[in-house]
Amino acid sequence: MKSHIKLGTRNLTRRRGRSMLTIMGVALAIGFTVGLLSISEGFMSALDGMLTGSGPDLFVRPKGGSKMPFGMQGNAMLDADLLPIVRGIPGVEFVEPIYQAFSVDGGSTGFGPMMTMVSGMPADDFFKIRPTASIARGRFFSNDDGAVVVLGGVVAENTGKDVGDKLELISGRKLEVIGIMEKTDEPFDYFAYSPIASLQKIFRDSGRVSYFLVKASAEAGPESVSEKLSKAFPHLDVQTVRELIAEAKKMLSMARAVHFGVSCFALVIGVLFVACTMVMSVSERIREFATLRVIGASKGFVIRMILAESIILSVVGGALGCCIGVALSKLIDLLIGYFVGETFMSALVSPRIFAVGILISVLIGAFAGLLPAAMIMRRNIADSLRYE
Amino acid sequence: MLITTENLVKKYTMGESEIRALDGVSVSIAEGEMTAVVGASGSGKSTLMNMLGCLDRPDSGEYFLNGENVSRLPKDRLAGIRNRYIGFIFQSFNLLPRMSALENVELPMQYAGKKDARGVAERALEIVGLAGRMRHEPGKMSGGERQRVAVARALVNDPALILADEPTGNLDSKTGEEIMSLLESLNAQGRTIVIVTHDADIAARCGRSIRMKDGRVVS
Ligand SMILES: Nc1ncnc2c1ncn2[C@@H]1O[C@H](COP(=O)(O)OP(=O)(O)OP(=O)(O)O)[C@@H](O)[C@H]1O
Ligand SMILES: [Mg+2]
Repeated sequence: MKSHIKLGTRNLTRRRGRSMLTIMGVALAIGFTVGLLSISEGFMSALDGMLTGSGPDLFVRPKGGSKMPFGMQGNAMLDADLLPIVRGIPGVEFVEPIYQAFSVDGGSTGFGPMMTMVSGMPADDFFKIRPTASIARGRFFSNDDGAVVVLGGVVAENTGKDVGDKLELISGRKLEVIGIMEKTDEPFDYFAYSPIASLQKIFRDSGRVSYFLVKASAEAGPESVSEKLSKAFPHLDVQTVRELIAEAKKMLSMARAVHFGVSCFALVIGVLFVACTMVMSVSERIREFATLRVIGASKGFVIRMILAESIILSVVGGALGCCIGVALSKLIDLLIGYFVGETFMSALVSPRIFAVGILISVLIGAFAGLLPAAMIMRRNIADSLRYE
Repeated sequence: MLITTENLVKKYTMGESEIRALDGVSVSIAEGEMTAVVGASGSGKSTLMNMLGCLDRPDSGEYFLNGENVSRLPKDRLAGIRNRYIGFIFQSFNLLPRMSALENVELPMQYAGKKDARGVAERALEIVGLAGRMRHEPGKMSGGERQRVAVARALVNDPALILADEPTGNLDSKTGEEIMSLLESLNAQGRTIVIVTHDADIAARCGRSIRMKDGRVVS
């Protein structure tokens, strides 16, 4: 029997109110940490998932726009005549000219209407570039379809549109929904697709495109193709999906550094919380510890007993904190869903995060127990027996 | 001799002044003796008991317990010696709250790594007349019952020496009498017992008295 653990738990249940308060404190600190951790973990893994997903792997677009290709301003500044030249670059397997339009029709978020990006493109290579894409209902468009649109799985959900409905562009023109794609957890879930010719016609912009999507051949790889494209089009901005994701990850790691700082702060407060409780609890029991020493307990036993008590206190809080953390990350997921609609990023609750939560709480307990243990060890037994 | 001390000195400093709680104490106590330590309050009786019980180390002088010089042993060695050779009984019982009588009595055996602690503890509690109170916590027991638990706890590791610092000080005369009879029966079994007391009757029942005054043995 581990009597130091038994003695420790007994004492905790004796001072129930105080133990509960301390446990709550630790639970909040750990919950906060676990919550933040699972969110950034989820975002990171979503970004990594995009890397391995199918789809185009390069963007060619005008210089100076926003770094993210999806929110591009100053539509359609590229000449469609560039297409054969891009296609002629060695290593380029497919090229898609994209004419980007936007819709705020259907669905809403806490911030207002849901924005849908409608990409005008040729039908030819869509499924070759995106082998995992498939049609759930209706059909895909062909190049000579008129004002029609095919919705990605998530777009269909967010806007609540189905085959036969109309999707209104910001300009006021309506597109007929003729197909809904299967949800696959890939980027194309989040777009709507139309024949490029009909969008160019609607916007009276024939011969112009917003950007090119390029798929490099497997042998050449995106990096070498990117290099060649940059050389061939020094006035254009060429970016690989990998670079884009690296960019996003960089922004995320900055957010992570802030998380880390805030978490450390929370954890230090956790340590102080437990230490404070333990110092109080140990000071009340100076005679008890002396008695244990009198009847033969070694120093090590008493130290282990205090540490056990402190760690149990903290780990119970930590376990509770893990649950709070999960709840917190789900809540943030819900809030993100409410404010910006479904995104490909969501919190990831992995066993690893629980392990980290519990490990941290063990460390909190151990640290917090050191001070009271040292306090008791500094005392002389004979003096402690006189202690009132 | 079970106990031999040579010129034990223990000083306490209180601000400027220095108190010699023990001022050159040399005593010998043979195995099987029942000895009373008497003297005025502040004369150093408890301080001497702390030394004899290896709870504290003297500033100077030697203490031989069963022939071994223990006056300068490291603290964890002393804990082991206390655990194996010495049983303690205090005026204020010093039982652990939140643990039953039985668990309190089991504790010293756990530190000694003994098997069947439960059985031995039960028998010890029967000997002190608490067969029906084993599951009670100290807080739910009378003073006399608590002191009997303490006696049982002092017994379980079969110590050669039992040190009792005013064991009847917090008890009425009838319960005090019961505890004294218990100690006398333990002495009859051959255990060496040292009792600090202010009670002349109790001192008279011990085979021998050590009288202290101002940190010295006067008779
Ligand atoms: N930890 C300590 N710090 C300072 N002085 C101490 C300490 N312990 C004991 N003393 C002093 O040493 C002297 C002897 O104390 P001790 O407790 O041995 O007396 P005692 O004979 O047991 O008295 P009592 O009969 O009242 O229990 C006293 O003057 C006491 O004030
Ligand atoms: Mg005393």
